Amino acid sequence: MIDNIFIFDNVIHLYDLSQQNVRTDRSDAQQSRDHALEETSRLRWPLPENEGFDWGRRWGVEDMYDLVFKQAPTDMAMAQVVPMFDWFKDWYAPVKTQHAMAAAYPERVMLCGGVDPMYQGLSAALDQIDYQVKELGAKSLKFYNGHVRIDECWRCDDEKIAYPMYERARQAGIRVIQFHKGNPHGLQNMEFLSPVDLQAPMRDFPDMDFIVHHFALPYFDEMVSITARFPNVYLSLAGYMTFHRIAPRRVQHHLGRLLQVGGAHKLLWGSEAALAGGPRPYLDAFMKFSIPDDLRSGYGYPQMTLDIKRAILGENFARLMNVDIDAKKQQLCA
Amino acid sequence: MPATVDLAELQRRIASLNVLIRSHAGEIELANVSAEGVVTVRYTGMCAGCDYRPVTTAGTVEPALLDVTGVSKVTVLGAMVSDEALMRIKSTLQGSGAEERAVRLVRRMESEGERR
Repeated sequence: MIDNIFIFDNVIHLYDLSQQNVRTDRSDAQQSRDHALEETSRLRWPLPENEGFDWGRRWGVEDMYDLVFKQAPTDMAMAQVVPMFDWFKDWYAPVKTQHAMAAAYPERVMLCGGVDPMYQGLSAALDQIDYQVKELGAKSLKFYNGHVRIDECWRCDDEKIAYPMYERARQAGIRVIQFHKGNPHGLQNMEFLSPVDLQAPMRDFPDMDFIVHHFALPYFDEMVSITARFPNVYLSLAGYMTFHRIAPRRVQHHLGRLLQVGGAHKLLWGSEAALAGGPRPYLDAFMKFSIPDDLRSGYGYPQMTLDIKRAILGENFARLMNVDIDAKKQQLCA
Repeated sequence: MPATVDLAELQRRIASLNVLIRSHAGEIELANVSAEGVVTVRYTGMCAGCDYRPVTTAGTVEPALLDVTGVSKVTVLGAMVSDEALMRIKSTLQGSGAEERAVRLVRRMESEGERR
């Protein structure tokens, strides 16, 4: 907690970027893994403890607990599977490591499973949904519909491929599903990463909530419009505060615009640890964050008040996941 | 101690307001009423996501809802502007009679509805 504010991190990933996990049957796998490591090294806060650290590892439970809960004032987090099979044998962030984290710290960590119909087919993906929810206790599911190979991409509004997964998730008791949008991996076709294909499922599954990650950048305007119009869409910051060190003005514009038309109740704190580094410097930056006078006057953006920060840092996601914050605070303090 | 909001009266007022807002192919719906009389609404239809929601709120929705017994404040889910922008909106409305007209129209609709 920070000043008694409950911190519920929507997204941490126990990645497996180890050399052993790199696919040898894809010519671009090694280079892409190396590039991912290089790219994220520039995003991380330049802290002494980050220097020389081996980020290209298979993340373990204690590594992650140290980073998220000891080095940072996080209270709860959701460990999310990244079912990107393009370059990794056991996926980018495997089911096993996310589940291990949730199993080791059930009072603090929820599991978000993940499946992809292009990995072993739709039928296998549906079976996996049942397995991850019923056997592993997944409370949400994450989808990555964009892939490096065009023939492995799928649309989120595909009634034959995507809808059966949402229906199976709903049957299993899942009410919150999540999507990676924007932020391409390499030379993917960008149209699969636009959030526009989420509008039909948001309309057709009104009893489910949709969390979209990364503000779907560079499709920000589309994302703002969708967020403003659909009651069942939420946005995860998902590592977005890494940009604050690089381009604070841009962050003021983005968050200001989202508060203005999307609503503070729709934004969820997400650190994207571990590749973005530990959450602590981002939390500090977020607590100090404000919309400057000229943007409030010139663009009409509202101020990021302490009440709004409290909602974004924990209240909004707790409400979605049915976590009673007062009871959880007492449990964690006991 | 604030007066309790009469939910039936509030819903009737929202229905009356929606006759006006339908001219924009939208409506409002009640999201929450707090014990302190803070009424939260959300825009639907074509008004959902519209950048001009703060203008409609200040000129029509807010005065008509504040006219309901017990309502102390009106907030809108998903739409907020800075204090500076709100002051500009209010100054534009000043002297226009828009707020009074909104209250007059919804009251008239409700009294005509009662007479029928």
